[in-house]
Amino acid sequence: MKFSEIIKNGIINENPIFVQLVGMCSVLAVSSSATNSLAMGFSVMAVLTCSNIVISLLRKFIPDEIRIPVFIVVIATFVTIVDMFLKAYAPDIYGALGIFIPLIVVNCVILARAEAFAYSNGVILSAIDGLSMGVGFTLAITILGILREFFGAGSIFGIAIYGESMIKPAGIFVAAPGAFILLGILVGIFRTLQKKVAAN
Amino acid sequence: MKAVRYALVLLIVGVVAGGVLAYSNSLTAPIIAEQEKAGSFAAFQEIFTDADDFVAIDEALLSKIIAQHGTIQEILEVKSGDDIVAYVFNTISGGYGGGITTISGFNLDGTVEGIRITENSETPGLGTRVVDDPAYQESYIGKSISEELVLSGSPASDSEVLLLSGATVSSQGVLNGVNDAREAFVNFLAN
Repeated sequence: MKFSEIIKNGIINENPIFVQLVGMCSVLAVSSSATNSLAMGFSVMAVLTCSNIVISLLRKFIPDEIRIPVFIVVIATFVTIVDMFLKAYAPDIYGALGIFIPLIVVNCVILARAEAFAYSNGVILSAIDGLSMGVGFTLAITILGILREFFGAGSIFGIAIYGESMIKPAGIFVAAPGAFILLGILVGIFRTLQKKVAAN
Repeated sequence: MKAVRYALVLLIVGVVAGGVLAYSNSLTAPIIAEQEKAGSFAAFQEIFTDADDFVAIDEALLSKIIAQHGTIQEILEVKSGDDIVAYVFNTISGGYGGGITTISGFNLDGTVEGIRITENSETPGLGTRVVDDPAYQESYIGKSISEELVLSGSPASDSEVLLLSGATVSSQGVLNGVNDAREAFVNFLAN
């Protein structure tokens, strides 16, 4: 498999959020602002890349029958490390993401890549796969975060774009229903574009 | 034989993971502890700008108070020189999206010096207005704590604080913590 193909898979063809629709719990919950989305994206990217590398390294050493518990231990270890370092060096972001950092453990995109890719591919390919899936995840959640913050709070990355003077931001977009509505629209647009490109 | 091998692999993976975690914990734990302390001290100092020191109250008294007032996490004496001039309470009360950590400062004369909300997981743009809208926290300043505080859309009397429309649960959540601290103050510390 070529590098470019893996990268394209991760970011576009099999985008974890827009195409695979995995890890929705954290995506819907933390995408209420662009900064939180970006931080969540980078956390997932770090865990995904590291766990892919380690699992790929260990793949000959892990017996088939117990691979899932080993995957979970490896993933949980990296998540806990990310959790500790965020808490120590970026307490504001840690406060905003809260419980969703530990919940990266059960984000199925990570276990899915371990099982579907890292367990049967070499270290370099696995690292690139983890990185591209992570980039795909980060891009998608950040787009969602930017839109929700723009429509719901009138700002992007905390910088006010339009104030109450012109038009009042619609609070529904930063609340849960807005997340579902915008994500649905984004998935729809993404799939339509993908089909068009494929048809050409 | 297979079972032994599985157990051995899991054991090794677990031990290595544990070692790695212990090492990164040893790197981050001191920084985290320092930050938590600095975080609440900064809030104390914002409320009591002139205070010389903040000292935790007697442990036995604290656990007695906590037994009756569940939201209270810690209570500190606010000192000016050697004299106690006020008390500051750290409470965690239930909001809309989880616990809200509030620092409440009460003067010995029975007035609110100020409150600060240091941590919350309220809905951004709605519930978080208890932090972002300065009017909310300011509405507590100078209120009397001899009676229970209540919410009001336009606070006038000495025991009314601001109710933010659209953030009722969050406004009430913060107030619950402050009221719990108020009650503890009146019952245990006021004299």
